[in-house]
Amino acid sequence: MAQYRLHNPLAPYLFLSPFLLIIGVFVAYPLLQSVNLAFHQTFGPGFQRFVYLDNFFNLLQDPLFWKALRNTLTYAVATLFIQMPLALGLALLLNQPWLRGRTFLRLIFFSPALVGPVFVGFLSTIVFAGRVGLLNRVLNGLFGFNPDYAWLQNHVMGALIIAGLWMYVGFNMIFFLAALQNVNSDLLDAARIDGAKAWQRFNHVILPAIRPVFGFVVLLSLIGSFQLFELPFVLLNQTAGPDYQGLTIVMYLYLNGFEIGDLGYASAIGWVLAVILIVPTALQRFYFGRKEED
Amino acid sequence: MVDRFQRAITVIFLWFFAILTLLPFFWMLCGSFKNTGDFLTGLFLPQGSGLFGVAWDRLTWDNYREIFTNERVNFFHSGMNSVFLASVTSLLATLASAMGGYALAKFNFRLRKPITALVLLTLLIPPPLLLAPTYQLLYWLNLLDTYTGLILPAAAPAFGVFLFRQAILNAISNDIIDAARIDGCGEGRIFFSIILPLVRPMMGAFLMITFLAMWNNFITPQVVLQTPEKFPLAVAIVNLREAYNMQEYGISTASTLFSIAPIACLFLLLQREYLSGLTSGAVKG
Amino acid sequence: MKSALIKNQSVGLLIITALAVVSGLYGLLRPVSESEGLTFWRVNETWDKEIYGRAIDDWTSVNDKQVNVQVLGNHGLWQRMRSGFFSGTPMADLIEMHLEIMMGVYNGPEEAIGFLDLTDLLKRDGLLEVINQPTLSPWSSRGHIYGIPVSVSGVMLAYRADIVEEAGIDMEAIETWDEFMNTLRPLVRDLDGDGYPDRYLLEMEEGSETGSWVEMLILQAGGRYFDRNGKVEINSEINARVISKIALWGARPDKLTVDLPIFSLAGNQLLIDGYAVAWLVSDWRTKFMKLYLKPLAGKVKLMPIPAWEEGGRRTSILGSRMLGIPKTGHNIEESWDLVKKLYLDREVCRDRYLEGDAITPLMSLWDDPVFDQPDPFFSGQKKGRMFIELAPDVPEMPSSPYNMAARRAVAAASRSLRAFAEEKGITSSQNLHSKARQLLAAAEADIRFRADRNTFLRE
Repeated sequence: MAQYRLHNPLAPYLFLSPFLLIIGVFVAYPLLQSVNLAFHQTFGPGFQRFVYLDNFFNLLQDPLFWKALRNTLTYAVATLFIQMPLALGLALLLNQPWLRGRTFLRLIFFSPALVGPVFVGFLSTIVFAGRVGLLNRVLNGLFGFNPDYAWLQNHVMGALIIAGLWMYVGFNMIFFLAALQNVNSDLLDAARIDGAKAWQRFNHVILPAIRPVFGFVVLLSLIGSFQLFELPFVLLNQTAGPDYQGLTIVMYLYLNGFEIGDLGYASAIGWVLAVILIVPTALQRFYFGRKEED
Repeated sequence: MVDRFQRAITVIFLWFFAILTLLPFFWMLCGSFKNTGDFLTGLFLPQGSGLFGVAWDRLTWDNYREIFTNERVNFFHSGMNSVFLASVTSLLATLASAMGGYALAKFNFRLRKPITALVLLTLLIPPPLLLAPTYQLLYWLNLLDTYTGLILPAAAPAFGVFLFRQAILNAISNDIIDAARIDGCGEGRIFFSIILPLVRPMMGAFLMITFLAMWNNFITPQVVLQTPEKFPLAVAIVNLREAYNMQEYGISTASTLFSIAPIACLFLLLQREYLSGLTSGAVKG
Repeated sequence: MKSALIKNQSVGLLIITALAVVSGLYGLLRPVSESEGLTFWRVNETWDKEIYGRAIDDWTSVNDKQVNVQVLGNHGLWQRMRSGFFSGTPMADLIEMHLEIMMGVYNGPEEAIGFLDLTDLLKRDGLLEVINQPTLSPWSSRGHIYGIPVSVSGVMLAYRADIVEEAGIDMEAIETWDEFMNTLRPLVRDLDGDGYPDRYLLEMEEGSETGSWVEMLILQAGGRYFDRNGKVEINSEINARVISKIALWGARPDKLTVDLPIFSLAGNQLLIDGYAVAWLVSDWRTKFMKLYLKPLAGKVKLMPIPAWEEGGRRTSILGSRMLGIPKTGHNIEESWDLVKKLYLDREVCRDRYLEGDAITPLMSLWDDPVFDQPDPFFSGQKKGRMFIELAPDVPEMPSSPYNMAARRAVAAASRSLRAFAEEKGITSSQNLHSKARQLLAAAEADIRFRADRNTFLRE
């Protein structure tokens, strides 16, 4: 790398100063404080009591925490196995050069991603309502589905997964579409001339070319799924729903920290979440990191 | 022949999905103009004797009038709050990120490596982890229930520094900067009149990304803000439901629609920059 | 030069800068409402605005003090209260709120309870003895009273007189739940022939999250979730008996109860359509029936809840709203005076019954003739008197910060029990008993775990 000696040695620090200042105050300090808090039980920010490692021991025995973890995992896995194939499929279809109105369709599929989870959650209370809800009406019209089926009482997770699909399939599709631009079209034509079947072309030409992006999108959606909060929280009117069916890790963190007032327990939950996420996040960042070297 | 058949199937399939995707929007739009009785009876527009068999005269502006004039949850105020929070945050965040990214990309200084590592490490922290300690910090700093307490922590995202560093690293040659320096340009001038114009697409994209993120952010304003007059739409809409005992479907749809319309407009203006900026982190090598 | 500058900037930057300027100016120019006098936060009801308006006008004209009323939703209120108690953000002088919120207030150390202990003030003004004692129980913690309830909060059974009379059933003769279910059983049927029954006997929470219906029936039977010291007591004989019955009522194929999203648009319509013959209703909730079930006027009647055994208790309690004074209030005496005006004044209480159907818990006002007025909505029954006669029997509801969690846990146990009964085809509550105990033991362990975790409540 070339050495620059032309500039004032302080210049880079000046450019970085807003970032460093804010990171120092609002990231580094809270990060340390969250370690400290995790060893305390608090009632609001004012009252606190040192409880050694009790928060973590309690967390391990806390059936609600395990429930939250299980719910979150269910959502994440469902997201992965339903959303990813759909998003990739849509991207492949939309990538056909002969297709008219591709840009328009792309915008349509992407549009739900603009709507924040709060608003989707809010809207979903009516979408999933029995009798008057959009979903039951559509399902009833198409398949004669029970019009009174109470999604939000019997199958909160189903409702969440459906809402998640609507929101994020188009979002993920955008990444796949971008990746598909990297596919070597000469190679694809050659394969076609050689008589390769569609799935063979997909397996041997397309998939290798988009594999890095595929990994990126999977990790991104995994990390996002693990932080699911607003959608169920608003959908279930600021509760965890019947039988805690909609309880997620971050919702449990919020409820403990800000409904009950125990910032210590909330921090402990935060640390467990961080530990769970560190593996996929590090993988993703490592991927980022590897790319920028060249 | 088979090919044509396949194509037709593909087109039908895609448009079917597209309609399915748009259905909630359309349903919302119809619902927002209906009174409660019509909401119960018809899926979309109320049926009647008007044009296309629709009872146009039964459609009403009342739902919108209600959310703009309600004394408890005024959506116009909340909308302005949202605009303010989102625009100020995105401007500050974009500026700070561009500055930081530029420094890390084009300067050689002793702390360059450690700071780059810091940026990458910061990206590893899941935001919910910092929620509780940040709340306590804002309590100590006396910043609870203020916009400062909401905007400052979001004003220099590591993600932005990272994105701008990538963009500047890739898009700008060192020679331009050096030439400007030899010409006697100050560092500030170089940044504002050479660097920023060259990363314009990334700026547009990142402005939109942060604007959208702040607009749709719920958990932080929910925790930090207390006074209803200060609530952005995301928090106000949740309170709105309580104000009406969840009885008023028309008002629910109207308020949701109003909350997402500004974002949709902005997106239509910036969609090209936004979409390419969004995927650049993943795709660009 | 200038145009070049603009040309070099992104469209997004220009738009967003413009937005920031416009919204910033709007925020600066917006008038800020600064208020003097007492601040009063209250929960939302649409129908009692006028009662409060009149009472407050009255009070202001006498005391020459402003009252600044802010109406908030349940969660919004809790959030502001919590933030005020925890973090010292601005607080009201007077707060009205629902029971669901109050339980969270008891969570921390006693000194962190943000509300003023009203016991001494009540004693001083000779009011303690004349308030219906059981009604005070949910608003008290560790021996202190933190709020005055708005209504006596007793519970009765509302039933569709039209349907029952058409079938020739005499409701007066029904004394117990078993009799109720057995006598009315023939009414369950599929009226429109679509394969789904559309008439059930009782609206009963089966899936909803709150669990207050199950709790109501348990308290009626003499069970409870916590003892007076707040110790968890979920796994009891009596609780098991009640949830076994509830489970059987809801179990297919002989399903007798139905869960309607009560007081939601869809639920209202279903009630009007006769999906449920009867449902539980408290004094203050009869107002909601009048508001949302208008077509049922003159078609419904009230009766004491069927007892669990002959001669048993025929009412229960459904926590309503209360008024409390935050410790940080500027002028406690003034706030207390306003509390008395709003909740304990004869005129206001009379209005509140006439317009809001809430019956004051103040026994000294029960002689008022207003409570003897026939209520046309309930086919001319003297609704007020009926509730008042039941008031001394209203069970206590011990307060605990874990009450809401206990409700949900027991409701979940009763749901699991129902699923178990359906799966095994069990039709007698004796055969469900051991499973019920097992489920309640799990619920109790769950709640005890949470309560024990709280070091602030340990001393």
